[in-house]
Parts: sequence; structure tokens; C-alpha cells
Amino acid sequence: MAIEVKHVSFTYSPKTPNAYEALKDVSTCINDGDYLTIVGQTGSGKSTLVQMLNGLTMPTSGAIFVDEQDTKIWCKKTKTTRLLRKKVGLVFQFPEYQLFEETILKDVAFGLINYGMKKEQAYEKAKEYILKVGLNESYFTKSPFELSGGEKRKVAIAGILALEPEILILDEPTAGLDPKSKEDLLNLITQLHDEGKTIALVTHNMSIVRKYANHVILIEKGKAFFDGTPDEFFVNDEVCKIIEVPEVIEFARKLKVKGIDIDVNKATSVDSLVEQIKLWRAKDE
Amino acid sequence: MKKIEVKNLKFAYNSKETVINGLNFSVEAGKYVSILGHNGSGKSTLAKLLMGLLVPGSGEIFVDGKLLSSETVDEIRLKMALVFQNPDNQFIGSTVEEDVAFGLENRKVPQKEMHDIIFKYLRLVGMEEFYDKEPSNLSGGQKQRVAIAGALALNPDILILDEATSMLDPKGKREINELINSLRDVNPELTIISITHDVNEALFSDEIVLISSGKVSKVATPEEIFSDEALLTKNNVISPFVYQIKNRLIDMGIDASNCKTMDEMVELIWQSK
Amino acid sequence: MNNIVFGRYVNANTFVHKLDPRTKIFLLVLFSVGIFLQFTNNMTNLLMSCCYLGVVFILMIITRINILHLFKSLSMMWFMILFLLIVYMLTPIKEPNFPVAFTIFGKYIYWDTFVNLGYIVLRLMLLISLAMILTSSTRPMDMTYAFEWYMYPLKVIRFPVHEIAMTLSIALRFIPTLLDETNRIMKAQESRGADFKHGSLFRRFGAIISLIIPLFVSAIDRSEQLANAMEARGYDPRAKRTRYKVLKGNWRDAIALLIGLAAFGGIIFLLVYDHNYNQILFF
Repeated sequence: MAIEVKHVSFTYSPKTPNAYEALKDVSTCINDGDYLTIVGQTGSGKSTLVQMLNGLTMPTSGAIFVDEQDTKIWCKKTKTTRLLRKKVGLVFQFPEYQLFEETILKDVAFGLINYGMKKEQAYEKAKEYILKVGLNESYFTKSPFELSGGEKRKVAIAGILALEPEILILDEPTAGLDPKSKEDLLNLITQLHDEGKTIALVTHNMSIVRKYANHVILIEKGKAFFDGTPDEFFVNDEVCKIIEVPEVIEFARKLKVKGIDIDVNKATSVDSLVEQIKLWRAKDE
Repeated sequence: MKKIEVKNLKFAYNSKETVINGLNFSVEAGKYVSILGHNGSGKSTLAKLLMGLLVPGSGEIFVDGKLLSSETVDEIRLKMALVFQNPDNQFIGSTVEEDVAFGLENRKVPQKEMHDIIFKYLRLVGMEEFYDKEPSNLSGGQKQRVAIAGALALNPDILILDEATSMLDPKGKREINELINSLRDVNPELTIISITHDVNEALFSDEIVLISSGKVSKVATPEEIFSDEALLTKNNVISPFVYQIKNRLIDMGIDASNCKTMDEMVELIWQSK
Repeated sequence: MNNIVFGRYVNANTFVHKLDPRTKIFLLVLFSVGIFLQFTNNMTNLLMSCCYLGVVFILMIITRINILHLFKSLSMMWFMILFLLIVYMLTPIKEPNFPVAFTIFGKYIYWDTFVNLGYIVLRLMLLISLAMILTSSTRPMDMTYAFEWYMYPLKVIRFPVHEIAMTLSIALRFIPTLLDETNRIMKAQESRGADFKHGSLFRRFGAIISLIIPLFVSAIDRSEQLANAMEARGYDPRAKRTRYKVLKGNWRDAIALLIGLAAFGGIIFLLVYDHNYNQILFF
């Protein structure tokens, strides 16, 4: 078990008139090799939750265990804090806003050098990961500020990937990207998952949950409203009332309600849904 | 009547790359037109050009038959209102009502009349009860609704939406799209130009101007554009779900060409056996 | 960043909240002058200070500010108190009213030093509390309106009153946004191993750079978008504009002003009365 979240609550500005309870008694596990998606409305506390996983934020009550050790203990010493941050890599929402170096190479190497790697070595590693996110050599010496939005985001992600974390957490990595960049990025994340990384991803996009995840948590009003597999998720009527169901699943659900024999969980794309419709039509009653 | 006419418009931020490269299209009065294209197709630049915030490299923009130039820009701007992409960076007032008031103050609307105008439009966008809230207490979707109220309060002929929903979550997107559609019932004379990469948003417009690398690829109804799969692939656009299904059903031999909604198609499939 | 509560506007509907910000600023100035008027008699000074303290307490209770904040202000001033203590100890006292407290390097330190220090600290505390009552009961935007009103006469000498007020109000509007952003970038860089709290000066400097550059880039980006949004809505800094929010005083302000002026008049009267025996000592 990679990460264990035990009865975690979090309150912003406690003991003031502006106090706001973002998370209430949330418990879950993230297993090695998971592709977890954390979903829920804006302001439901998802971002707060992921910031706790690498010790940037501490729970007001409850605890988070990474490799069976409390994050509070991890973060007691600078040295172990760094180990934790390296083990659990967190890509923030709109990470393109964290770029600051003169060249992309330097920016990607920033984290590595912070974690004590020699410059030469760090640049080598940075090169490797810039290529990995799908940018070519010509980008090494470019300034991050002359890139497009999608490219900037790739650079920012390369900066975290270069740290070679065991668990990669991404907070709404596809927000604001156009369909093409979105697909590129999701393919990259899938590739990383196939290579053995544990992935946790905050998203509003239910198609990602359907297509890629093996584990999904729905945070609603600060509570873990649902915690299970996507297959259970999309057939749960209570859940489907809260979330924006992907259109293909909505359509499949409508067909099923009508009495057409459709497996909602197999309707992952237009193609697979159309196949099912064809099968149903071909079948004799 | 042509409300806006764009003739051979060109624009470049620097000598290296031309963002808009000979754009030609026109918008009829009272129509809802989507300008659809993927990121980097020069859409946002177009919004600023239409509003006179940028000066074209060459080519002309006519509004109500009048050429947009440094002499006419102030007069023409009175007819237009623009809603931008980022909800935070266009919220100028300290509270909801003061933000709507900002444009009115600039237009020298007498103080006594402002309150009624502000609340009329806040009611229209469903933000009336939030009138004294500060932007930090509002969601992205709510801020965009305030921005739309602020734009409409200026009583424009033309409302330009520049990727107004692209930074919102699905709920916010849906709310804003519903609001824009409802505006047409409230004021049928309003010309709406929506610049977007979201096909589901473009679906509701009267006409789509499909642009790619700074040029117009095609101007047609959503129906025509989304049925033409070759055109969409060429322009890197994925068609809306209902059209994807519709095209598949037609391939299957089910005549779904008149279907507009999922429910109609479900019914058709049910009857097809 | 969420901890900056001291002096921040707290939404409530009290008498003080409802006052016109111009009234509040005027009374604040009046009260501050009152606090720094000094009587010759130590007893009177002490008595007056107690009165002021009482008034401040009452105001804090009316505006629902936790009295504990007052003492928090003291802990914020400790460095200044230390500095004042040293200055006071170095200042020779010609006619001490109190006995010698102790000697240091053969120099007599009288109790006067500590009494004077006590007074000055008490006054600063009162001033801070008053400012806090003002800021926590007045929306920042109303404050800018009031300042603009007070600065209006400066327009005669072409002082850009309106532009400054507009700049100020936009700055105020964006403070929470930029604080959020700072917070987010800091955390994002911490995820990349930047350390703002520990390590050598050089490393910390590097961390700060990784915060400041993105913050600047985003602020410039924002300002450009904001300028476009303002222009699109017809803003012209030189043109005349109408006003939606107009400050209007009512009976509450009349009452507050009356009480304030009466109290100030009373203090002046006492001072003049005091002056008949001794001399007025302005601080």
C-alpha cells in the first residue's frame, strides 16, 4: 500500500470568522500501481487533499501515511521532507505558472538540483525527460516563456517527472488545454502508468475516469461520497446525479432505461457503444 | 443586414508569424455565430481586433457599414461588449454590483438610473442575490455571469464572447451556455459572436465560421459542418457527441438525420428493431 | 497566508460598520490628536489614558473585535518597545518626579524613564487599536472612496486624485487573488524541492527567485488582460465618469460626530484649564 488516508479533516483559517471546513473525515487507500482519479465539484476539497499527500499541507485532524509513515513524521526534518516530496511528485494545477528559468533545460533541472544532484547530471536527466514528454532537442535552450500553453505544461510536468517519483499526482492536468494537447498529455500519463508509476489525478473530466482509471474517489461537500472502481461508479445512480456523466455513458444509460440491452460499463467510446447497439439489433428476441 | 463584415483581415504580433492571414466573413444582425478553431488558430486575436483593442496589419472591419478606424473606434465600441476568457482578470469592481456599475460609470449613466439597470441584468443572469459579494467568494461560473451582466448592461448591439467558458468546470460551462441561449429569447435583436474551441458550445449557434491557421475554412450551419467528417478531421476538430452517434446511426441504416437530441435517437434506435 | 487576520475587514452590521467612512477617518484623526495631548499632572494623564482605553474597549466590543487582538498588537511592537527603552534610558532626566530605580555604569536611571515608556507604549497601543477598529469595520473600497473625497481639493493643483483612487481600488481588489497565487506558486516550487525556510542564504535566495519571477509574469499578464477589459468597457482615465456608490452620511454620523466633537472639546477645555496652572505640553 503506497498511501493511506485515515480520517482526514481540514479547516481553512480555523478559529476565525472565515473558518471553512474543506474536508471532513476522509479515508481511503492508494495502492501501488493504482490509476486513481479524484473527482468532485470545484471547491469540494480535492486540491487540498492532494496537497496533503506530499506533506505540503497537514491535516487538521486525522493522518496520512506514506509507506506506512505519518506525513507529520516525514516532514519533521528537512532531509526526510525532501525524500517524501521526491517519492510523491505533485504537479499543480496550471503548472505553467511555476516556470521561471531562462531555459527549459534549467527549469526542468531546478528540482533535481534542489534535491542535491550535480549540475551536469541534472542536465542530462532533464534532457531525457524533456524528450519523454514529447518535446525535441530544439527546446532545450528555448525560454519557457515563448512556448504555447500546452508546451509550457509539458515542461512543467517534465520538471516533476525528472525527480522520478514513485507516485505521480496531477491536479487537473488537462484544464484549459485544447483537445489535441489534452490527448497527448493523457497518453503520456497512461504510458507512465504502464511503466509502473502509481498515478493519482484530480479531474472534472469523467471520460478520463472511464477510459483510464482503476480507482475513483468522489469528494462531495468535503466528504468521500464514493470510493471504488469506475465500473461501480458509473452505474451508481446517486453518483450520476452529482457528476457530469460523459455523454457516451449518459446515452448508454438512456438506452438501458429504454429497455435496450446495453452494458453501461462497456460503453467507453462511441465505437464500443455502437458495437453494442449493432449486437442488440442483430439479436433475436 | 450585415452587422459585421471582415474583409481580408491580416494581423501579426511580430514579423515571424502571422496570426491572422486574410480573414473574410460577415455576420448578419441578430444572429448567433460561433467562430470555431483549435488553440493557436488566431481566435482570441480576432476578438481584440473586432473590438478595436488591436489594430489590424491590413484589411478592414465594418460595423453597421462603418469602417473601424481610430476615428470611429469610440463610436463603434458603444455598440459592442466583450466578455473575456479569464473570469478573474475582468472583474474590476470590488463587489458584484460595483463591477456591473463600472461600465455604466464610464458611459456617464446618471447615478439615479444605475441601480435599476444593474439589478435588471443581475436578475437576468441569476446573480441578483449575490449583489454585495466580493469576487473571491464567487465561483468561476458566477464571475462569468457577472461579466455577462456587465456587458449587457451597456445595452450593446453585439455581444462578443472570447472563450468565455474555457476556464470553467463542466457545471460552470453548462450554466453559461444555457444563459447565452436564453439571451436570444430576451433580446432577439442581439448579435452574438462566440469565439470558442468547444464544439458543444458551437452546436447551438445559427452559423459556424470554422477557422484554421488564420484563415476561414468554411462558413456553414452546425448541421452542415458537423456532418462533414472529412472537413473536421482536416481542421483538427472532433465533432459533438450527438453528431458522432448520428453519423454512425446513418451508416447503420437508421435515418437519424433529423435528430437533435439524445432522447430522439434513443427512441429511433428502439423503434429500429 | 490565511493567517493575516489582524485588522482585516470583518463583515458585520454594527453601528460602527454602518458609519460613513469619512466620519470614521475624521474621528480617528481627532481621537489620535486627543491621545497625544499631554497634561502636566501625571495623575490627570493616567486618568485620561484610562478613559481612552475604556473608549477603545467599548468600540472594540461594539465592532465585535476580540479584545485579545489588542495584546497581539503589543507582541508585534516588542522590537519598537526595546528601541524606545534604550532611547529613553540614554535621555537624561533633569527634574525627576520619581526616585531612582537602579544605576547602570554609574548612571542613574529614574522610574520616570519607565513611566514615560509606559505612556508612549500605551499611546501607540491605542493608536494601533483605533486603526484596527477602522480597518476591520470599513470595507477597503469605502476607505478609498473616503480618501478620494478628502483629497478632492488637491485636484486644483492637478493632483491625479481619481487615477490614484482607481489604482488603489484595483490593487485592493487584487490582493486576495495575488495572495492565493503566491501561496500556490510557493507550494508548487516546494514540490520541486525549493525551500523557503531552511538551508543556506544562497539556497533560500534561489527559492525566492523561483517565487518572484512567476509572480511577476502572472501579474503582468493579469494587468494586460485587465487593461483590455477596462478599455473594452469604455474606461478612459481622463474622461469624466459618473458614480454608482456615493457616500452619504445619516443620523448615525451626526450622532458620532457630535459625541466625538463634544469629547474633543472637553479635552481641550481640560487642557486649557490645566494650562492656567502650568503650561501645555504637546508631545
